Amino acid sequence: MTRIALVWVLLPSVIASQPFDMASPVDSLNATTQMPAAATADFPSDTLAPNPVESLVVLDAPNDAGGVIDLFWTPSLDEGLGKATVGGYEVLRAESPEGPFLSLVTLGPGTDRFRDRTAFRGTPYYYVVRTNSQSGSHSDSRVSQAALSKSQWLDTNRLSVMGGIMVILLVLLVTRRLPDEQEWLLPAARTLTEILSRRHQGPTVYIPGTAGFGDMGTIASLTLLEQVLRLGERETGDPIVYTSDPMAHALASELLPRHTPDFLSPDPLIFSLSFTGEALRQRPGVGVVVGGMGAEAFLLSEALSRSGGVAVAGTTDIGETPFLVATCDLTLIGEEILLAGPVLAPGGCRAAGLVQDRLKLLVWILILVGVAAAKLGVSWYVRLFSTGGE
Amino acid sequence: MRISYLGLLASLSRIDRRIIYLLVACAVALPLLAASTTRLIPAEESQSFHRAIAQLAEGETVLLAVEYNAGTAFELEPMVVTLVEEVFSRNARMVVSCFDAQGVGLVEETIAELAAASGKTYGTDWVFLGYRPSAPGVIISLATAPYAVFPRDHRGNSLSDLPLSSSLSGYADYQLVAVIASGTTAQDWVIYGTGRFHAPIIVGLGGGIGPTFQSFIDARTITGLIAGLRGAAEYEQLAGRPAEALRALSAQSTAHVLLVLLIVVGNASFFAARWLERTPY
Amino acid sequence: MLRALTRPLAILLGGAAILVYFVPHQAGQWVEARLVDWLVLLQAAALVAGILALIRRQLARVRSGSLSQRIYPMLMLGSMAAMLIAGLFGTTAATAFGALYGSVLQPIQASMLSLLAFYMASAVFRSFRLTSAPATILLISALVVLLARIPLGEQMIPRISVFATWIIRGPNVAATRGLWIGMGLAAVATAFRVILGVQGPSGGGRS
Repeated sequence: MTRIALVWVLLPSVIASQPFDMASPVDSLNATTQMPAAATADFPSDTLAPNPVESLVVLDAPNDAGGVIDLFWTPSLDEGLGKATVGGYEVLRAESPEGPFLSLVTLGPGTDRFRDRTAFRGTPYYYVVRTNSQSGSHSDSRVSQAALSKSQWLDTNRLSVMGGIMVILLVLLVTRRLPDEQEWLLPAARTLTEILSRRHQGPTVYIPGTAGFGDMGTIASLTLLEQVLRLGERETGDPIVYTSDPMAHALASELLPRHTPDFLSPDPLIFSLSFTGEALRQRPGVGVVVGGMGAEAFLLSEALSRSGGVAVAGTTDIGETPFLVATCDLTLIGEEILLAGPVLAPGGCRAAGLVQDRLKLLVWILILVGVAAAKLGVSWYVRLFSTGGE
Repeated sequence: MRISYLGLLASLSRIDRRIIYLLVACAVALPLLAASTTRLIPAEESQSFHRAIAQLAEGETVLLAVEYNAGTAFELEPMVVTLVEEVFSRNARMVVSCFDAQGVGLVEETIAELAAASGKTYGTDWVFLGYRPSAPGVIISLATAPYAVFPRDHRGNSLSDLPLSSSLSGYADYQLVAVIASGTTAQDWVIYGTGRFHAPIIVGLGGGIGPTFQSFIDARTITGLIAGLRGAAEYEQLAGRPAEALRALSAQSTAHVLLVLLIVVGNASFFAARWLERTPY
Repeated sequence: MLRALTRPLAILLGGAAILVYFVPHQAGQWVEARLVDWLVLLQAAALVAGILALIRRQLARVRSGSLSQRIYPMLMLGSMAAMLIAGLFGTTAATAFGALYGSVLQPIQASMLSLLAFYMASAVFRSFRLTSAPATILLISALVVLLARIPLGEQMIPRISVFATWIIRGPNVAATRGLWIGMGLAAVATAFRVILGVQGPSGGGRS
């Protein structure tokens, strides 16, 4: 329903942005056959020449920045038959219908389409497809109509993604507060609160992962760091933060009120070993290692385990999670990493869990309908979620 | 007497971790001294990986995106070696990009040696772009504006001056994108490279994260997958080029057996300790 | 003053980054190319800042620590300077930089990751216990996959790889997909919260 509404809202801009040839290749094929015949290029042929390709259609490739033209044709009738068996097709291009036509590419027999990626935006091109026989003779198609490539403003293949994003935004905006101050429970977040609120022997150490800032785990971890700072303020004081990614370092420096984080190394492995030394020296009471991490997640959690403190870990790299489960006292799994920060935050962000619940319910419904559609052989439903190709 | 055996078994749980380290070192090192290779049954996804390379035609271009350094090279470099040998043997060409700042020298050296052995010319048959930070940014740029992020290759040549890279425009330039990565870059390739630009991708990964990529194989997001030393060995066998991975697999075999034994002994020791705690004498 | 600009800037740039995904027009590509340029530049600049922070920290340790505590920071700063100076004279394999890279950095890196095997064996010995039904399922799955991934396992138990493949392609894929979907939804929601300044490290939700 949302998608239909979305299409209605966007329809005027879609129409305005589309070039002349947004019809499907099949429609265009029909349209071309009704067009007056263009002049045939003057190319030599002999009596053994194969039948030329028919219905050559040229279209501006949809949903792109221009510079790409699609060619479709019906292969020669001699394909696989007779004395002039087709040896292949050659695509020729010119900037005027009179030529000169220059060869672009040679294609094998059986081919019925070609994507010309070498066109200039805004320049009209004319195409001829030459059918070459195995005996060396050839015949040419009629010269195509002019094809002009243009930039489009909206990628219609991605409307499904736009719909999805709008639904998430809608759920976010609708679910701004928990109804009647109801508490949304994330067991891992509750356990983390208990751990941080307790008095421990050593200091708290915190690592916002080792992945770059492009990893959502790093952003989520820095959000969690704010809450760790707040929760541990009374009992354990400010955590000692160790960073590996320079951007995470810069942002963690912003968050820490009294001291700067320690940048150990940009290399995850060297960082992990440096941290192992630090952990064995500092003997932390609590160690939190949450964020984007690869194999070094295990080295870090093992370092915490060896140093004797309570080890809390979580990585967005799902493959590493089993190692963390084996070595840590508390492991944040999957979405818990992204939700722990907002759920622990006082005020507006506690509804984050509820947003997640509603979105997951929606996905559940979509999956169930998808399974039913697949069983019933309804293919359009799956196509709704396709993003096409570039 | 029975109790003393149990006591011995229970005491194993307090074994010094350095003894375990020593056992691991022996389990890995000794089989390497006695080089032997075994015949493997390749997984479906390894076969798809090999098929994608085997189908390359002469003159077609592969984008090889590599992310490893000396630390992770043990399972990823054999994949790169076999892949590069196969690509060059088919007279296909290769544009190589490195996503690990500390692996740049290693990767270039490896490919340059293989190219020289196959008689391939730099600039015509292969180009090394080098390293740029921010994997997502580089993946997007390679699709939309390759020259903006790589105006020059790693050797300082202008990319537009080299025959192979004179007209790069996006992933359509490549028949195939082969990602060999130890870390999170492979995920970035799936999200941005395939998810957004529909680049045809095959992936070689470290053993630890291999299973998580299985869902991308089933969903046909990626067309081939080899993971860990086992995946590299399967690929070597499929390509008919037995080399480092197949040899090293024997070391991995003994290490796996040791892990199984450690699990069994660890549990036996745990239960012996529990039984002794509950027994009143 | 700068902090006041953070939220509008986050909304503007974050919004632009989302919008260009739907705009194939060259104008959209131009905006995206600039955003990616900035991303790469920021990352590179942050790396310099990070390395400066590292040097500052090591210098502080040199100044304040006892003699034994000074050795490692001094070694680190010395190595850094050596690589930097060697790099000024070329970075190919035949140069001093190449020699340091090949004979110092590479062996160190190779040894460091190999530590993982030792740690893992130790962790497996201490942590994999048959303490409950879920732990038993985990342990049996681990044993099956461990054995199936080696030729010896296939020789000992011929059908083990079938079972291992089922574990990897069945329960493993199902669980992974569930986690991916959950993380994907949470990631989009988090991105929106950060862009809109409801929470996040841009400073929006600091309490």
